[in-house]
Amino acid sequence: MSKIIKIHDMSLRDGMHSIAHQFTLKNMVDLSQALDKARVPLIEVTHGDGLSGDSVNYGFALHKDEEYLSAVIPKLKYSKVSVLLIPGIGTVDHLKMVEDLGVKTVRVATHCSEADVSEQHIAYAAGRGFDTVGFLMMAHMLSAKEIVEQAKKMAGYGANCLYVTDSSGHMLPEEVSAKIGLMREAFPNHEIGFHGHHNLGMAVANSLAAVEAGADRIDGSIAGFGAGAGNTPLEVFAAVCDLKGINLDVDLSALMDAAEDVATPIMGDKLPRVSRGALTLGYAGVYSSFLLHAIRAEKKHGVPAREILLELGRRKTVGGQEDMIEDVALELLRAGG
Amino acid sequence: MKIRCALIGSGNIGTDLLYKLLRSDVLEPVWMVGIDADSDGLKRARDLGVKTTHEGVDGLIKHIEEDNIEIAFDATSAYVHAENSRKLVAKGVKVIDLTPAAIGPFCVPPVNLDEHLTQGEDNVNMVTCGGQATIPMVYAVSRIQDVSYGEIIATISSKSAGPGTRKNIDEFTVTTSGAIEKVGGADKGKAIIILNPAEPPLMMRDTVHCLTKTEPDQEKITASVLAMEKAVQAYVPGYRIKEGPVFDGNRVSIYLEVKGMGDYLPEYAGNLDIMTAASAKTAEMFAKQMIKNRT
Repeated sequence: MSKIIKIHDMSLRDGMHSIAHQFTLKNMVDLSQALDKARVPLIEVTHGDGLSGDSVNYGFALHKDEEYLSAVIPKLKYSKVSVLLIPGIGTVDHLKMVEDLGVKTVRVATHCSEADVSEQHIAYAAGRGFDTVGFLMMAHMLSAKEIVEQAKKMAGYGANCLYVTDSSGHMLPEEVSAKIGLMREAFPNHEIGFHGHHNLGMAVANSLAAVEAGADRIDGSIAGFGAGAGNTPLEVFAAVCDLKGINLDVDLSALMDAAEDVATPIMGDKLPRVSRGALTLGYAGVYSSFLLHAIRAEKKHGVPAREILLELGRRKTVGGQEDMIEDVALELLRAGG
Repeated sequence: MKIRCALIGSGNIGTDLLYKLLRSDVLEPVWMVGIDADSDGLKRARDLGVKTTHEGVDGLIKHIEEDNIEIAFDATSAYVHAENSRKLVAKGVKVIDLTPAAIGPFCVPPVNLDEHLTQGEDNVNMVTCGGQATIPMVYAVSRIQDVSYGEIIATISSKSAGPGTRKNIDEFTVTTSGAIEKVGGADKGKAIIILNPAEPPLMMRDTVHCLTKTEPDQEKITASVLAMEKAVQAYVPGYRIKEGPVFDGNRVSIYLEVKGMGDYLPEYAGNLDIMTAASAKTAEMFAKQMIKNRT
């Protein structure tokens, strides 16, 4: 039997971006129950921008992280739950608030070149015995060698799993192979993970390339929920893996049913697709969760979202800089007027 | 007459502050304290004729009386500040805290420096760079009408964030959030910090979002915000409103940029300047008061 690749569902966290963080508790319970039935080992539950993401900048969620976690976790039979924490947004105190709710995995995310802001959070999570993941976002912005250097810091703080995160959905399979391959070589005793976005339509191909280069964990979401054009659609990835003889140890039919019968009706017309805006994100290398904010700025100020996103790409903005969107829109408006 | 000062911490902030104190009419930097004799900050201090020690605050304490040190700036870290402050205050030194330790009351000069002058505290805390840049604006809105929620996003260039800031990033968000409430006047405060590694480094940017309890009075708020911009520019010339105030329902948003004076790090590091300029201004006001009381 080949090694089992662990899939990590993002529908309830990255998927929050797709509907401006407005999942009801029932949406979360229904989705997580469907994932549990399909034997998805890990499910992430938090605001789209992680613990304490609730803000004017990123959007206020319908419920608090604690409420979502308390609704989902007690009903799960098989799946375990992770939380995301972005230092600079969430703190160790936020982690303490949720750790007694039955969370098993803590993922600490930084921009790919700024791993050293994660020391407090990774050290705390590892010290408390969590499955602790270091998550390097916007990984297309550094070389494979530089990514390894940053990942070493996270490993040093205590992370047992290290991620290459394609937050912009900008990578192509050969880049994924090179980056995951070098990570595999540099960290023989750590788990290596890949998180993709479908903005260039490459999420499934990229995730497959990651597995072939030695990745142990792959992020995805049911029906491709997630920022931009969404994450790797899990049911599609599972079917492809089955054809390739890659063992995910999940129930493919149950995943397909979850996507069609549970996930799609919840999302309705907000179901992510490779829209003009999402494609622009992937093309220009821009953080995927900027999409809805840019569309909102277009509506308010009359500047095309594509122009705003391209400008944000030129300025090399990073994850979390949603406040630049209205600023740039107003600047473009003045320059154009 | 000048009041004699010591700087504790020879990193980015301490070194930038040194240059500002050297230009002061009422403050004289006499000592600079570090923990590494080879640090760039201590080297520069020695070249500028300032006495240095690399033995931490204990290396300074024994010279306080003979060198008549009356004000000390602590730019070390939140973790060692309490001990430093205890030792200095015991010697009768007034402490200006540039770490996020926040043992003493928060000081944001254009908002509450006058209060601190009348209260004579031993230790005042300068919040954080993001706090100094944004809390004046939260206050500029809250002095017009009630703010139920104040949120700030501080974006700084990676090059201007030293190891101390990175290691203790939680202290930034916690201390700044607290000061948005206590000094800014918002019922609830939230702070977010982002490091951006772009080259060439980006100028410090800060966004302020206030949610007002009733519909914002656009004219009054705009006038108050513009007056506050001028008040901050009096000690940080590179401080400016880039966009706004933008009104959207009960949301008031102000987009700021802080260009530094290029004393230690280049102009992009406005986050250093706003912190050190606010601290120098605070110390100068204390010094003027000390001088006045003596004459």
